[in-house]
Amino acid sequence: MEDFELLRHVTIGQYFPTGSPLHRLDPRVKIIGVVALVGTLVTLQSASGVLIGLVITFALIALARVDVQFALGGLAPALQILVFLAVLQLVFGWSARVTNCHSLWSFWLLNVTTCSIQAVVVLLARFAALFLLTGLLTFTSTLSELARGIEWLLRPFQRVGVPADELAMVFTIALRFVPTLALEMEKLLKAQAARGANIQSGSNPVARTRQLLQVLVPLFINTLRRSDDLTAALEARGYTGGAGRTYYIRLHFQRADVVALLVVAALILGLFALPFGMFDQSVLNMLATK
Amino acid sequence: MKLTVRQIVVAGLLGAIAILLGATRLGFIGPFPPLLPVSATIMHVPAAMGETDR
Repeated sequence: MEDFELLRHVTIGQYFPTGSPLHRLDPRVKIIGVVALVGTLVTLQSASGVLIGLVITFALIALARVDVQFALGGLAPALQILVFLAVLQLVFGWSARVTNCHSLWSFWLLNVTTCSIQAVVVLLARFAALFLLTGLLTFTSTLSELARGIEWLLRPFQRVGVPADELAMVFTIALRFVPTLALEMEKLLKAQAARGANIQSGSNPVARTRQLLQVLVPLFINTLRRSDDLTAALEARGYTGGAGRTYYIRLHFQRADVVALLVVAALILGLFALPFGMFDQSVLNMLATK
Repeated sequence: MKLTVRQIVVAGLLGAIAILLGATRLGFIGPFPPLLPVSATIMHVPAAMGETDR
C-alpha cells in the first residue's frame, strides 16, 4: 500500500506555516537568495566548499522549523540514479592520468583515485543541497507570495514582451495542483489495483506503458475537465490576464529583508573567497599517504 | 505575447502533471534494459497535449 502514497515523495509545492523568521521574509528576498545560493553551489568545484553549502542549507531548514526527514523524503525517488552516478564517478577515476590525483585502487579499466572520491562528495552534496534549497522556497512561502515575487522579478522583462503576470499564474497553478493531482493519481492507482492491475512493477516496458495508460488517460481527462472549471472560475472573478491587475496586499522591503540579503551575500562571498581548494588538497594528500 | 485564461490554466495544470510524473518517477518506464539506469519516458506527453489543446 506504501507504493500508492505518492504525496510522501512529492515534497515540492507543500507549505509549512511554522511562523519562522524565514517565513516572515519578503518572497522576493527568498527567491533571490535561493537562486544566488543555487548558482554558487553549481559553480563551486571544491568538495569542502559544497559541503559547507550543504551545512548552510540544513541550517536554513532548521531555521525554517521544517522537518528535515520530510524535506529529505523527496530525494528517495532519485536515490537509485544518484547512487549509480556516484559509483560510476568513483570507479572511473581516469583523471588520475592527467592531473596530480593519486590512485587508491585500480583493476583493469576501473581506477579509484583521490579526485574521484572528491567528485563523488561534490556530486552527492551538491544534489542534496540544490534539492533542499528549492524545497525550502515552497516550504516557507505560500504560492501567492511566490507568484507575486516571481511577477515582480520578471517585471523588467515585460518591456521585451515576456508575459510576467501570466507566467506567475502558470507557476502558481502548477505548484498548487501538484498535491491535488497526486491525490487523484493515488485514487486512480488504488482503483486500478482493486481491479487486479499491477501498474508499478513488471520488466516489459511495452506492457508497463500499457498498464500506465490505465491511470494516465483518466488523469489527463480529469485534468482537462478541471481546466474548464478553473477557467470559468477565473473568468467569473474578472481575471483576464496581466493587464490592469492589482493586488490587495502589496510587497514592501523591511529591515529584516535587507539583513537577509546581506547575510546571503556574505555567505556567498565567504564560499568563494575561503581557500577550500587548499583544504581539499591537504585532505586528499592525507588519503593518499594512508 | 498575450495568453488567454484557458491557455494559462492548461499550461499550469499540465505543468503540474509533468512535475508529478517526474517527482514520483511514474513518468519513467524502465530501467530499460534492466540493471542500467536508462529509462524510456512519457514526460513529453503533457507538453504534446498542451500543444494540441491550443
